[in-house]
This record gives sequence, structure tokens and C-alpha cells, in this order.
Amino acid sequence: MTEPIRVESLTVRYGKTFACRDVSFSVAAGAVYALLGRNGAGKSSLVRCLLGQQKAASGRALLFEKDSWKTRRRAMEHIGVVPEEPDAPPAMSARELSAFCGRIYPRWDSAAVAARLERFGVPQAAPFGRLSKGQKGEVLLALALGHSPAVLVLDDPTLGLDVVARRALSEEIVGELADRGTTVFLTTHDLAGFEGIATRVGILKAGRLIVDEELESLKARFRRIRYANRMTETRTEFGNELDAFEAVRVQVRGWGIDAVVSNFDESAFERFRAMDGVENVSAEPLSLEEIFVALAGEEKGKAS
Amino acid sequence: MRGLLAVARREIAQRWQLFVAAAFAALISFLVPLVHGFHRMNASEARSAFALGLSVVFLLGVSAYLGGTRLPQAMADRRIGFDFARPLPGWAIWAGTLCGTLVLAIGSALIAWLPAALAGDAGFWPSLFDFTEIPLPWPVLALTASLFLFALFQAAGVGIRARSGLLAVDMLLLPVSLAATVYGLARLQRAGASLDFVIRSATAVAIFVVLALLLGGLAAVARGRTEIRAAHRAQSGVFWSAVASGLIVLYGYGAWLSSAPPSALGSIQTVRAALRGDWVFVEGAARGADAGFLYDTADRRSVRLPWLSWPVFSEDGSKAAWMEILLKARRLRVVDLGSRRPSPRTLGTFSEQAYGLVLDAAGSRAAVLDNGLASVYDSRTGRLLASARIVPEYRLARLLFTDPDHLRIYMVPAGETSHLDILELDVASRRLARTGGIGDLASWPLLATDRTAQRLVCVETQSKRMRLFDARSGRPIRQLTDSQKFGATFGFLFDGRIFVLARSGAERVLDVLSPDGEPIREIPFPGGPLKGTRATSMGSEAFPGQLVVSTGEAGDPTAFLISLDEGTVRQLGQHLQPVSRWSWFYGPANSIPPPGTPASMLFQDGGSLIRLDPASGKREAILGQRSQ
Repeated sequence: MTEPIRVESLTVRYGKTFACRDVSFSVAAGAVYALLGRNGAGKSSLVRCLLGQQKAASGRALLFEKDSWKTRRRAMEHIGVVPEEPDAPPAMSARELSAFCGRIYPRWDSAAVAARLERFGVPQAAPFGRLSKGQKGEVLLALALGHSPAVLVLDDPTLGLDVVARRALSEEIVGELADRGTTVFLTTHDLAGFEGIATRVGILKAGRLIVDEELESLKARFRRIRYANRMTETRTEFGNELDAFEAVRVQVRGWGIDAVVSNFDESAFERFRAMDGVENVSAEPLSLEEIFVALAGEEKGKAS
Repeated sequence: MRGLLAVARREIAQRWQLFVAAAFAALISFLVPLVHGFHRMNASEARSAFALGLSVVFLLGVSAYLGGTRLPQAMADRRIGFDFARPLPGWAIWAGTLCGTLVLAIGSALIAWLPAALAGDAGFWPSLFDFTEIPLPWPVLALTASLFLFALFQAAGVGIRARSGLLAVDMLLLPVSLAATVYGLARLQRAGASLDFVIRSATAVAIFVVLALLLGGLAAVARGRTEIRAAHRAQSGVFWSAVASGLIVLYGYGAWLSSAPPSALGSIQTVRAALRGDWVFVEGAARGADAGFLYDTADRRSVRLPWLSWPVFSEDGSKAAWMEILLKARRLRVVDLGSRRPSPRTLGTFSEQAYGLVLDAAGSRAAVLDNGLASVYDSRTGRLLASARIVPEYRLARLLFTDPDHLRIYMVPAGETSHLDILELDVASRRLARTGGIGDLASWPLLATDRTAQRLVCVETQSKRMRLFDARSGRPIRQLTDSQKFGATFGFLFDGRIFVLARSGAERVLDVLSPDGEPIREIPFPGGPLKGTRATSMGSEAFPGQLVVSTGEAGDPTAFLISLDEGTVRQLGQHLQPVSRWSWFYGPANSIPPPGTPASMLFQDGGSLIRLDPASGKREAILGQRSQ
């Protein structure tokens, strides 16, 4: 099983509005794929299609090489899901939910679920609807891992959680990865929280997948270049000194120019540094969050 | 199945408090006899009635509430994603929820009902269900009602929560399909299906609608999954497709019934023949429904008649007319039987009270009574030629054309029991005149005139009096028989003689009288005394003075040829019944068939129509079982 998740030219639309358009990517076994995007970028629609919960307008999502819309039930035996909104029946307690899952999964480890909930400190007899948002997320994560899934799908699992709950959640995922090498597909706004464990990143912008790349490679080619350009003292516009780079975001500051480039390499940077009129040059690596902001944020000040 | 049971169990576990509520309600029913207003009732009945009401409320209320909220709400806020993120098939999520709801609804209804039933009058319950004529046992009815409400409220819940334009389409299609279903069922009845069959069809339609709703609900969950609008699309698509398919079946079946040719008549119940020519009216069962046709026994042309349309023929056999039943009216239809492809046309529309349709001898004029108005129409153009008001209400009214320009009306006014008026409408002058009457009727009269409409036989059934009158003035001519020798089967022959099938002691005799009522001959009637279920049918003259009759047990008659001149009787065959003479219910009473017409050789042989030559004994099957 090399690619437990593959999405081919997937398009989702609601009437005339496109949630995502012609999206293709795949997730290798054991990888942690983080799909990023602003609110309304189409992440949840894509996740629902991936889980066979929603029919795509065109294209398809494959789970274990099979169309997820057609083989959802079978695929779900090997997939754990933590949804964006806690959706378990509110009247049922965590224990009852675990018992319910025990009746429908071929392999279900109630003891492991109970132990995990114990570790989280979630009251197991309380109705799900009365739990805090963080506790609900923890219950759903425990349920998602109860059948030792081959793939874990997390749709913004930390949304609305406090720092402690976020930390507990990501630690549990890290533990799961360390123990079993589970493939993880997640969407998140908590870029810092998952930067350490994501191996590959996709960025959705207005329904289109603009980045699909290994995280290391992505981080390697993105740099923030800061410099002063003497010409800016006489001209309000910057010059063509950045032509050697693909600048995704350029901002003119009081002290000079702040540019984010997506094809950084050392030799080009040396030539840039040696250019006439360019001084006080520095190049800094970017965090995933900074790269995301540069790519998915507002486009004010971007070079055309 | 494992998933279905898990979901059902979860539904019940989440709402088990309903059982507690039902048990509490059941206890209240024991307090009802103590309540002011109920204390005068029988305690057992008051308790039982209240418990039944509670039971129905729980059954229907729980079904409707959970149907309308459980799945539609879960789909609208995507909570159903919890189930779809598990290895549960969509059908199991839907069916599990349905089963859980049924257990909750039926269980709580039983809990509310059982204590009172155990303590109460056991005989009270069956009597409550006696009023229902729906052919379903009440436990099945309760289950069907629960399923229906669950499915209906789920459909409504999905439609309303989806908030799409499709809801407007649903709202539009709902009354349209309802009207189409009612019309389709009415059409079945018009195509001749029995009322019992139509009721069963309506029940089948109701069950089909429940199934279509359930299928729609299943499709909504299985195909819509977490998308409420997709669920609504799937639900509407499946439901309306099922409804359309059902309507196609209903209308297709109706069309199949309506298109049955005369050759499809498996069993012929009624045959009436035109006085001249080869046309007959045949009515019987075709493709399991009643079907009536005008049928040409010579060249097999036919005209299908609508349900309950009884035609009258003109004396020359060239035209037929009938009143077609509409929803709140009657439509007069006429057909020219001489045309190559006879096609009925409408002469006019009348009220539901329209009555007494007759044609003149050549079929050029038609007369009908409607709300006390006697009207004569040109049967070719439909033009009203004359109309006159007689009394608005009457107990009896019989019409006949004495000639194309004169319509005679025999009428007993409403409230009268002893008085028969004879009126005549002159078509040319459009004037109605009373030409006479019979003023001393002792009881309800049966009437027959000779073919020239000059003499009238009037039989009073209760007083057992049979008298001959002048047909125009009502002047008495002669008393024909006394109460000792009375018969209600009588008529004129083509030559004006009168026959009466009378009782003579324990035996029956056929009295032949002259046109003036003088006894000519008394012929012992074959077949023995009239008793039990024996029936007699009088045919027409196969040869001058030779009358075809049949007698015997109902359904197994034997046909005879009686020579009225010689008094001899010859058996024609068993299981044969001659095509009946026209009575005033089927045509003008002065329609006397001439001897030897094709109609005189037509017989019903069981459920078949055959032609039998009385001279040679040669038989030929025309329609029905024996012709197939």
C-alpha cells in the first residue's frame, strides 16, 4: 500500500460556487499530510469527499486505491476520523460511544479507548453533549484510534481548543505515529502545532491547490530576504533586483524591502547580494505559518 | 445487519425515557373514570377509550416527531457524519433509525394501552375497529401508519431543512400527483373495475406511497449522506420517480382495461339486441373488469361504451344513444351504427337527474327528461327541437315516440299512488298536452304498449290487476286477467297479440290474447312451476307466432320454442337463454321485434353469446368463452 490516499482532479461545487476545483494530490503510506487553507478555502468539502461523505461534482477521491464514494463503508474499517465539529450523539457518554463502535468495527479495542480517555482525563460516564470542546475532541480522537486505523483523518481537530488541549492532542498523534506509523491526513489552522510532525504540505487557495510538496523541500526553497535599496529613496516603486527570484510577497518598509521568495538558492542569493544599490541584505528561513501567510494571505503589495 | 442493529439499539437507548412517559400516561388512564364528566360513563370503557387515545398519540406522535427530526436534523447539521465516518452502510443508518423509531413508537403505544386493556372490557377493543372498511388488520394498520408518518415527516424535514428551490417543485407536484392519482382511480372505475377492486387499488396506492416515501427517505440518507441538499435531491428524485412509475402503472392498467376489445369478454352477463340489424349491446367481464360494447354480430365492428352506459337503439337499428356518467353530470352520446367506423358524438350535457332517454324509429330524434323538462333533440345536429316542463318531480316517467313529431310521456307524479298521466309533446308546435290518464291505480304500475302505441297494458303488481287501455287517452278497454291468474311477465307480439306468463294453480301457463284482449289460447309453460331460484326469460319471435323462451334454475336455463298458434313446445337446447326482449328500462316500450330478426337467433350460452338457428339447430359462437 503505497498511497492510501489519492485525489484526482476533484471538483466540489455548491450551485455555481466552487468549493475546490480540479484538485489532485496523493499521500504516501506513513506520511503526515497537512492540508492548509484559509476559512472557506474548501478544506472541509475536500475532506468530506475524501471520506466518501459527499459526492464530488467531478474527479474522484481514492482510499486504498478505491473510489471512496463507492467503497466508503469498507474503507472506514481502516480509517479513523476526527471531524471539524464534534458530531457524536450528545446524549451518549464516551463509554456508550465506545460500546457502540465496538458493535460495528471488526476490531475494536475498548480498553485502549478507555485508557486513552483516562489519560486525557475525560469523564467517561458524562454525556458527550455536556463535555467541553477540548474533551469532545479528545473523545473523538480516542474513538478514531480505537480500531488502530491505517489512516487517520483529522479535519481541523484543534479548532477552538486551548493550548493545553492542543498540546495533548498533538502529543497523542505523535505517539500514535511513533507506535504504529499511521498515515495522517489533516487540515489545520494550528500550523505551529503540526509543523513538527507534518511531512508533506498542501495549500488550498480559493479552491485550488497551489502547493503540494514535502515540508522540508518547501521550507528549503522559501526565504525572507530583507534589504535596503538606495533607489527606494528616490523612487516609490522597487526595482528589478528581485528578478532572479520568484517573489511571492514583497512589502516596502521604512527601512527597506521585505520579500518572501519561493525559489531561494545560495548562488542566486550571492549574486543578489553583490548587486549595485543593494545593501544590508539578510536571508532568513520561514516557518510553515509564514510560508502559508505569504502564499494564502492577502495580496496587497505583491509584485506583479 | 450488525450495523442496523447497532444503530437501532442506539436510537432506543437514547430515548428510553419515552417508555417511562408512556407508563406514567397509562397510570393516568386509571384516574379518568374519577374525573368529573367521565364518572357517569362505564369505568372500563372510559379507561379503555382514554388509553386508546393515549396509545394513538404515542404511536403517531413518536413516529412523526422522530421521523421529522432525527435524520433530517442530523443531515442538516452534519452530525450524521459521525455514522458515515464508521463502517456503517447508508441503508443501515436509515433502517436502524427507522427500526429504533418503530420500537419506540409501538412500544410506548403498547405500554400506554396495555394496562387498561388488561384491566378493561376485552370486548370493547374489537368493536372500535369495526367501523374501518380498510382491508387491513389493525396491527398492520398501526404499523403502516407509523411507517407512513416516519417517512412523511422525514421527507418534509429534509425538504424544509434543505431550503432549496426543489421544495417549490415538490409543493407543485404534490397536488398534481394527488389529483392524477384520484383521477386514475376514478378512471379505473370508469373502465369497469369493480368498486371493491378500486378500493383495493386505492389501498395499494396508499401502500405504494408509503413505500415510495420510505424509498425516498432511504435514498436521502444513502445518497445524500452529509449533504442535506443532495439528500433532498435524492429523496425527491426517488420519490417522484416512484410516484411517476406508479401513475404510469395505474394509467397503463386503466388504459389496458379500457382498450379491451369485445373478444376479451370472458364472461358475458347482459346482451340486448337492436330490433333490426345485427348490432347488440354486450356487457360482461373483460380483463377482470366490467366492459360494455355495441357490437356488430355480422362484421365485428364495435364501440366501447363507458362504465354504466346502457344504450338504446332506434327501431331501425341504425343509431344507438346512451347517457355517459360524468362527475356531476350526464352526457348524451349518439353513434351512427351504419358508418364504416362508428364514432360516438356528444349531443348535449345534462344534470345527474337526466333520465328516460329514447330515440325515434329512425334515430333522427332523441328525447330525454331532465329536472322535469322533457326535451327533444335533433340527433344529427344536437339542436333542441322542443322542450316542455312537466311536473318537476315524478315517481315514474316513461317516454316513447309515437312518430318523429310526437313524444308521449306516461307519468305518475310524485306523491301520487293512484294516478297515471298521459301527456304528448308536439315537436312541431312545441306544445305539451295532456291526452288522458288512468285514475284508479291500486298500486305501482308496469306498462307496455304495442308497436303502434295505440294500446297499453298496465299491470298493478300489488293488486294483481292487468288491464288493457287506449294508449293515448287511457280509456279502459278490458280487464285481461284476474288476481287468481296473474302474471307480471307480459308483452305484445309484432302482430298486436298479447302474451302473459300467468300462474294457474301450481303450474304456469302462457296466455295468448287477441289485440283486444280476448283469450285465444292457454299453453302450458315448460319447465314446471315457478319456485325457488327458477327464472324465466322471454325472447322474441323466431318465426311468426313462434316465441323463444327459456326457463330453469338461475344460471342453467333451458331454451324452448313455443308455437303460439298450435300450442306446441319444442326444446332448443340446454344452458341457453334468449337475448331478452326490450323492457322499458332498455328502450321504448313500443319496440317490438319483428319475427325472424337476427336478434331472435341470439342466445347466451353460459358466459358466451352464440347464434342458434332454431330451424336447423346449427350453433355458432360469437363472443365470450366459447368463441375463444
